[in-house]
Amino acid sequence: MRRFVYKQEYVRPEATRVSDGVIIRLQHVYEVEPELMGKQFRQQTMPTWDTLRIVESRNEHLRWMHEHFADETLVAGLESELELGPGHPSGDAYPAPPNAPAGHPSPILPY
Amino acid sequence: MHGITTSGIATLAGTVLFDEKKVEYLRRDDEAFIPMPPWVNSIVATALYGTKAEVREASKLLMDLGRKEGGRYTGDEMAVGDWASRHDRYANPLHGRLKDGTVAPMSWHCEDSSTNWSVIPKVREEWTAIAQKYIDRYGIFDNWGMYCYTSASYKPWGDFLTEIDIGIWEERLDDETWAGWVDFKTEIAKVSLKYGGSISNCHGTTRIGDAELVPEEMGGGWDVMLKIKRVLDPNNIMNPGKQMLDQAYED
Repeated sequence: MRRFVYKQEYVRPEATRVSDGVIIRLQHVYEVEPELMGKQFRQQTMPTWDTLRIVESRNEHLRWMHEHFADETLVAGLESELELGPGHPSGDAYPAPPNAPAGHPSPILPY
Repeated sequence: MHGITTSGIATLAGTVLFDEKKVEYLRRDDEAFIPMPPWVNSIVATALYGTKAEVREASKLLMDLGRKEGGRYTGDEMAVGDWASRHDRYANPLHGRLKDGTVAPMSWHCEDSSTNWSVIPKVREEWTAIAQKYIDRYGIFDNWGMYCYTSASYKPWGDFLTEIDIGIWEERLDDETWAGWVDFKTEIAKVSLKYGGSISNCHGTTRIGDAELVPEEMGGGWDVMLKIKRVLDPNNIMNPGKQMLDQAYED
């Protein structure tokens, strides 16, 4: 059981930028860049336990859906693309693709 | 995408294309898209129905077709999330972005048509330009990108439901911006008709801005529709005033 310390709960973990406009403070929990949020919305201080409660509630819903939707997952990637497991493709899966743009056919116009 | 939809694989239930704007939009706060590398510009997703043996083999063929066009596997997160009601991403009122990139509460509006696959690039180009024009002019709209998926109403490879999603900051709607939104809808619908699409296919056209264009789409079929309405509902008690069908009683 995690010990609840009131002051600690109001100290937000340090943010790490993961992409343009998105940060991460807790593992697997993405947040919109706070700088972008404050202009049109009044922001409130949120304790860590409340964030974790919301995240866990959503994950519980997702788990339930997955368990009741299918008892097995088929993954379409190649072995080399799946070496880190489903949803975590290897480096081989993410290199920039060769310059092979899909060729658009000429449009068939109705006039 | 055309190669996949015309593959003839019987387990293929549907194919969806997410365009660059849609991927850009989803990168804002969708956990399946945020970690994707920068070179991912658009996504082709498929749904397969069948037994495990059928789906497993069919998926290999489909992925090979995608790789031949320069596509790459992007992971399983999107599929996992979509199982579990990922539709909530459209109900997220925080997705809206203003021109300066800051977040504003917006609601989701979709404008769509049934479009032949061969004109999708042109429809996309023109819809995106129209959206940008109204975003720049009014400052309360946001382009949430386009996707199109096989609607299979005629042939699975020919007919796509083509949709552009628009965020609207409804708190800022007034008479002027509402008129702007109606014009916005009209321009979008006119592009659909220009390329031989149907604006009454999916979410339909029952609102001001595009409902007025339904007779243009239907041509002679509109007169038939008026006659049917009058025969089935001689006293105009079913949805009076809706969809301009009061025209059936004008004489």
